[in-house]
Amino acid sequence: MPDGSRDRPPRIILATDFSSEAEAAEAEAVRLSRALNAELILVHVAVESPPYGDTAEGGRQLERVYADEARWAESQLAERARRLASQGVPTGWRRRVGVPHEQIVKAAQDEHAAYIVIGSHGRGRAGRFLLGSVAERVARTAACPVVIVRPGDTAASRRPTPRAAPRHRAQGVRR
Amino acid sequence: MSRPILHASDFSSASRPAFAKAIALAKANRAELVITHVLTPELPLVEDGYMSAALYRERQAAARRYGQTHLDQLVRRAKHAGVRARALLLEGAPADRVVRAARSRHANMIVIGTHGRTGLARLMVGSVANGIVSHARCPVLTVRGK
Repeated sequence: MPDGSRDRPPRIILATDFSSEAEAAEAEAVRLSRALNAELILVHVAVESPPYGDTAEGGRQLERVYADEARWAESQLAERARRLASQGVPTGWRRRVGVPHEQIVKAAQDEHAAYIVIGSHGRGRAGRFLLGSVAERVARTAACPVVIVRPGDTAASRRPTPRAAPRHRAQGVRR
Repeated sequence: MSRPILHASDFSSASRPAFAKAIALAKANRAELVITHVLTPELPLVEDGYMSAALYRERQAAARRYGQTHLDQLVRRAKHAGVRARALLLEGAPADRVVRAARSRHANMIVIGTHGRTGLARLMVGSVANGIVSHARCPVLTVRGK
């Protein structure tokens, strides 16, 4: 197994799109990194469509927009990495361009990651059936284990539910 | 005290790498490992009629023995690896039972295996894994099976 068996500390990929789901995943990734003495690598994937079929001016504008986005994302990543490092979790970051789930899985391969941690949106009760498609695709295609975190999942925000789970007919055999 | 880690197993080879990860994480977190298996009640039908109550009970008991034996085996292996572990045999709809068990035990994480990318088996176990991931209130670690 990859964790701890080599000299180098294991690496954990935290996929982030800077959303609140990603924040929840960050807390879990930090917890996991501490437990495994692992290095954290923040990965952000930008989706850029090629500026085809456009005027030259339109293409240049799109390039400027992408360059702005890239600068913003890189400053966000660097800031988060600094903050996490100051909390004692060695953290690096990568910005990649492409199809999000593919790039996240590739990043994990490139870094020989032991785990991928990724957030997934929770959409209320009915929507709980809908798992974020990026998280689902990552879990399905990654070679390494994937931790899927939904907002409200983190230890800090978790509290015991006062309401007991309703008892069903098919109550389990508990031993 | 740290919260337990819950590992749900279907005893297939798809669950094996997940079991190994669950042990590694329980160790790293000094957490107890709760190993669970969910029995799905069968319909009491034989050929073109209902089976007798006695036969149904007998078959249920056999299923429970099977589940408990395999769970006990996993618990022994976990203990051998130096992890506090216990077995939890449940009955019902797999994803639902696992999610409820994790909630009632305030599990820190659920660790489950998923099948690779081939055939019907992926769809079936994949759907249980999906059900767990989309309903769980704690982080879910999915580990690709071999």
